[in-house]
Amino acid sequence: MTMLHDLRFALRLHLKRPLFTLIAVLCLALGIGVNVTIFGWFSSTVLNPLQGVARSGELVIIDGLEKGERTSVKYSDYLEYRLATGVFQNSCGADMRSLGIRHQERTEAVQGQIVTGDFFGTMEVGPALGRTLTPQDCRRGQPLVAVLSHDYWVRRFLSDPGIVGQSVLLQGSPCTIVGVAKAGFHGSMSGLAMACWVPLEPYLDATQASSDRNPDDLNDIFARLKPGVSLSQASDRVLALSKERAHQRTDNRDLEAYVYPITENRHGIHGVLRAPMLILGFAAAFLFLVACSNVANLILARGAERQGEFALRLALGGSKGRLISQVMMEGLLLGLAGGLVGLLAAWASQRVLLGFMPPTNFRMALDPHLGGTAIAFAFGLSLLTCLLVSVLPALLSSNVKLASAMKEGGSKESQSIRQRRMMSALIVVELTLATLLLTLTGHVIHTMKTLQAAPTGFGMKNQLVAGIDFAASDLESAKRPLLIQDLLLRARQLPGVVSASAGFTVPRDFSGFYGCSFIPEGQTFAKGAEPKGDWNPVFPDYFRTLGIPLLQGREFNTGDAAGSEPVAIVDQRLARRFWPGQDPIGKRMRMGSKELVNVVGVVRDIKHSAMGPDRGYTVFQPFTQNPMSSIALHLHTEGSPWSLVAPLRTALADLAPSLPLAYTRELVSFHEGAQFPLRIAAQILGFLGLVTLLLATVGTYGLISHATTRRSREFGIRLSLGATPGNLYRLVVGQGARLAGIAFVLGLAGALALGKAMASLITELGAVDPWVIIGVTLILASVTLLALSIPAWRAAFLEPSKALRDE
Amino acid sequence: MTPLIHLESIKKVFTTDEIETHALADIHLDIKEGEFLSIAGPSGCGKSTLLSILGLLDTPTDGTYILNKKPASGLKLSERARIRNREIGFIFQSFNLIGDLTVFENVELPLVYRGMSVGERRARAMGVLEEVGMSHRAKHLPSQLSGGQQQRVAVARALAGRPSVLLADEPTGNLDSTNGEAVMDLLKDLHQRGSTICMVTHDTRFTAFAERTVHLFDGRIVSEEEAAKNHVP
Ligand SMILES: Nc1ncnc2c1ncn2[C@@H]1O[C@H](COP(=O)(O)OP(=O)(O)OP(=O)(O)O)[C@@H](O)[C@H]1O
Ligand SMILES: [Mg+2]
Repeated sequence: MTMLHDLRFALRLHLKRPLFTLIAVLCLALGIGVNVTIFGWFSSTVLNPLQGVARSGELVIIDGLEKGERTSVKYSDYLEYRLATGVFQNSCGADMRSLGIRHQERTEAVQGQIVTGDFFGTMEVGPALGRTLTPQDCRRGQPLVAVLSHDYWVRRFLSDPGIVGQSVLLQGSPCTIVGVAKAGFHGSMSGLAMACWVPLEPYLDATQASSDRNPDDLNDIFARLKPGVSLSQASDRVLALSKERAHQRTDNRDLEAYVYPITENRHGIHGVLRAPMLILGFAAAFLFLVACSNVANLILARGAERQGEFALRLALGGSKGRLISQVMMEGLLLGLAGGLVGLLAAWASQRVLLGFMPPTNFRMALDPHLGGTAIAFAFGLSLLTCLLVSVLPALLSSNVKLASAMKEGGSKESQSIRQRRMMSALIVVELTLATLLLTLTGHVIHTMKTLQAAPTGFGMKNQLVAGIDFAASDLESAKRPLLIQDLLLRARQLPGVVSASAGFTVPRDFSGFYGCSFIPEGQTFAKGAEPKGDWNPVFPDYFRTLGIPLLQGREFNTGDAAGSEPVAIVDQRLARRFWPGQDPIGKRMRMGSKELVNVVGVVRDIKHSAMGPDRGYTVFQPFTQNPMSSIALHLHTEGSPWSLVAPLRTALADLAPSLPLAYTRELVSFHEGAQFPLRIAAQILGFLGLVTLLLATVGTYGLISHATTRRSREFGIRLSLGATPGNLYRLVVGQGARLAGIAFVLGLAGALALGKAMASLITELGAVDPWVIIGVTLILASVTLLALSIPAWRAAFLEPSKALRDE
Repeated sequence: MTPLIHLESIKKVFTTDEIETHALADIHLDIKEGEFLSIAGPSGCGKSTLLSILGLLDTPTDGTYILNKKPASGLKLSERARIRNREIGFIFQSFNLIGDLTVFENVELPLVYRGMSVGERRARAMGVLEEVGMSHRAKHLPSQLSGGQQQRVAVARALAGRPSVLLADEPTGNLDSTNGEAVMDLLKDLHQRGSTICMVTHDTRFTAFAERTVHLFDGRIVSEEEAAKNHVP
């Protein structure tokens, strides 16, 4: 009853001051909207990485732990772990492959998954058409079948229901399409869209010959926990199984297996989005607090004018509790209105994240959206907002001394001093948060720029990259290098081409880098401590084409063929580290567990991997001796690389009519896409930083402006005593500058501490650069000065006689 | 001898919401150095407006104002501030002490604006506080003083800068008779020591302190009277 009365009164109050209400609601909507947006992104891409999968909280992955480092377990291990039926309802293994699907005379390379066990059962995904795969499909000797994703079915087969039961060629083998999975399910690689799923065992039967991957590799093992079984119980069981098995291992690996929640899967986009999302979450929280302090200040400023009303309410017999509940109700209305508008804004910007994703050679299936949790989050924030914006005003209003508020005099003064202190404290909070956020923003952007500007060691101007995926062809694997050689011969003849070559991985490509381990002959390393590096099989002329200087020895040439002596070219770092002071040419090293290779050349170091730890060394080998299932052509051109796309396509079509170019990009775009988590953080932080700066500045302006208006009589007195406009200007600016000074110091100290925490999230973020601090201080100082100058100016040019008349 | 203050055809028109208020019309007035002038008249007749113009807190709409042989029109804001600071001392009806500053700080403020050194300021401020009998309250805030005490501090503040002229706008208006008389005694004392004083007052008891009283009505000087010479030593 009284609640209703308070509500009605609060509503009337807000409607009576529409401008105040509008500003307050917009300010809160901004704070809440940004947070809900980022929470929605975080929730739908990181916390629930797999789309279309029900109850993903029950879903776990089984990963190996080897020397403290997580690695994938093997197919043969999986066969053991799936016996842990006591803790799992079902389990499956999955690996990603590029698959060539031929239908109606056209082959297309798509990304798909080869799966084993009860993949669809574990994911709890049903068919939209036909059936999904069953464990029975995953037996050796079973016919090869496939389930299509809904998207792919629509795109490639134009939603033709008749496709179910038909046969296509998969990697050249007949394969029956048995069904289409439910729409919205894209497979178990988060963020990536799989076109189809194929049972692993029949797939291996059919493609044994052409596969370049060890059939024992399995990217991920998933399992669904039995109801009532905890993650640690399951993990204990799996660990016990892995220990039991340890002594039977034939591969010499010292591997233990553990169970992790699905969010901790190492594969997929969610893992790399986590750090930027957490950083953005922090930033958004700061922005929210700044918005709330702004509104709290607005309410406080208005509260000062309402002292009389509060006193009157008390005089009429209202209790202090009622007064507080009245003020809280006003805050609640603002919070809810802000939450609603913020939610609408968040809903409108849910897909904005996609605009920040870098170009990739993969088909993406990222679906940032607002789910039920995000809506609940928005509601929770609204309530928190109510608390934050009304607690100080409520405190102040409940402190009204009945006698003193009704009459003039000293305690009214003290009341306003308390209020002034609260408002000043809020401004210090706001400016501190703004300093903090701007420093972090500056830090991330500066790091980003530094990384981007750091020399890569290869040329990026006029460099065309064109991908070829052999999965899309029926070409035998032995013929693939020959095709590329022929294609390169033709490409070199094209007008405008300076040189042409090809390599398996593209430097700085975040979506695929290959590691290798190598042992220089005659040197010994503890098991697991063998040196590791990036690995890239390339064609002749690779280094010349990419502008990587050859320091010693020779490039690969056509003589380095499949049957001839295995060779390698290493980078300078590797050569210096393992053969210091010696001639590396002619040295030999063992690649993995394979044969010894001869070092024939040394090239200048390049920056190869895009993200994660820099492996430090790079080993190049001839593609002809290490054929892979895909390749990237590199063309160094005289003018714009894009003019060569069409001639290159024609040349390829001449040689292999069924083999399309998978993608064409400029090399520089790989470099720009590298570090993309940091990039996303930098770009969005820039926006949040600006908004926070704006809010804090407007808040500071509002406070000083309000205080100045209330002090105009004092300024009149000062003018009458001979204060010059300059005196008054400095007085007002000084007052704000003192608050800003405190805030800068607090903010910078906080930023340095928080910078450390961020560096643990994204390793590339080191210590905060002093120039960033100087820059942020300058920006904040000038913007604050500007905000202070407006009211200061007004005070300076007050008409003394009018100001003195002010009450 | 040229007067300290010379007003000629001073007009002041306030324009608010299309309504023109003729607060002052055709004022001619000379005030000699060392004179004690009182301005009287009914409420709203323009007394405070006249004082504001004399004190350079406001500018006349028309007319000539010569202060200390210098025309007051066309001065820059900072020059006007300088003159207020050095030549003029104000005493207001409502004391107008700055609530956040102590008694001492209030009194030294005009000297701060003059750029005086700390030591000199201190000596000067304590001296005038002594004169008005308020030095023992130097560290108090205005809100901790009675009205009479506050006005004495205000007088001290007006004196601190040793101005050429003291402008007092109903200095006793907010005081009871005892306190009012005490403040008037202070002013009389100052006058006897040579200060030029221009005071607005309603109170006929206090007009008698002045050598000359001008009566304002509706923005015009309607009569002037000289007081009996026996008040001057
Ligand atoms: N800033 C202003 N804007 C508009 N009108 C004004 C302004 N200041 C004064 N007035 C008008 O000018 C006239 C003279 O005002 P003034 O304050 O000088 O009167 P006063 O003689 O001091 O009265 P009181 O004895 O009540 O103090 C009044 O009619 C007043 O309303
Ligand atoms: Mg008056």
